Amino acid sequence: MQTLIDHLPLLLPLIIIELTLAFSALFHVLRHPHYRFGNRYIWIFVVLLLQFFGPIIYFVFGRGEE
Amino acid sequence: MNAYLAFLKKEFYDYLRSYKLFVLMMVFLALGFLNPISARYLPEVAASLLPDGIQIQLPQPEVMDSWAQFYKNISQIGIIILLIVFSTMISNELQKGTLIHLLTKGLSRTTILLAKYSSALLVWTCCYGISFLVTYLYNFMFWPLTNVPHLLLGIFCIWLFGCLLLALLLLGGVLTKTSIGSLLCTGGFFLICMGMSLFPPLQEIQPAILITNSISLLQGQSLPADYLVPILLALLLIGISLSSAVVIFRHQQL
Repeated sequence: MQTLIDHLPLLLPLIIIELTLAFSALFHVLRHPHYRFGNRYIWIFVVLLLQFFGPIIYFVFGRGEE
Repeated sequence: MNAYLAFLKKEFYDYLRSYKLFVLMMVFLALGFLNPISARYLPEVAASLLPDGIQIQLPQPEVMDSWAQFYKNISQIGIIILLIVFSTMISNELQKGTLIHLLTKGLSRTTILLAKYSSALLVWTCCYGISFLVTYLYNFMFWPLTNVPHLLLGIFCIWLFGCLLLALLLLGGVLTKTSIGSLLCTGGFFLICMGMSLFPPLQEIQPAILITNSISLLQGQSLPADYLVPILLALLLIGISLSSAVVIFRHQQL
């Protein structure tokens, strides 16, 4: 645990990027009710739990038309 | 030329609005951070996870470990995500029929394909550049006094292979009109390269060596001259797949 705390400043950029991706995808899921497939609950689950890949899959394949 | 620039601009608006650019930038930025940090701290983290009383001698991390991570991450995760994001570049427009309006206004099909390819190329170059720059700066911070031979050529090899895969993605999209088809075309090409690498005379010239083996260039185990044929072959294949995509697309019923 101590090692993790010591290295937090270096890990911070990665954590920030992952959270930016996850939350921008989450806001998009919540604000747009139409998806190419799946429903809102599946997509919330996917973007929050699959790190990096979840938001990418959502933006590329799941995002519905505006 | 004007039509080309206008279409290029339209493509960039599309990347911005569909979040493609955002996703790619974020992923490549993250990969850039990941390489040096994991190379530098993985041995320490692994050591701290061992139960007390067990001592193992871990090698001191070097700048080469970080470049090895860069090669591994970019050529696997990076390129796969790039291909997934761009797999819809032709199929989306063909399925929705959005190109018809532009074609009836007199935009040539060649212009469309070339603008699409160059926009994808530009995005790939920017994302790859960001990833490289972040890794390079961190490496410089962690290991200030180490020099890596043939770094630029090694970096160029991966970039060129990315360009080749994008050209094949375009060809696959034109041939099959689906995103799965373009991914299969690119994946099929990679499998053929892997198959070629099983036979000794072909091993040295197949283009996939550019991403699977060019790390040995940085480690000093191979010479720049060894990569001349694969690089030329990759350039030739880019030319062939682009021109055949253009020829097929011009005669295609939309």
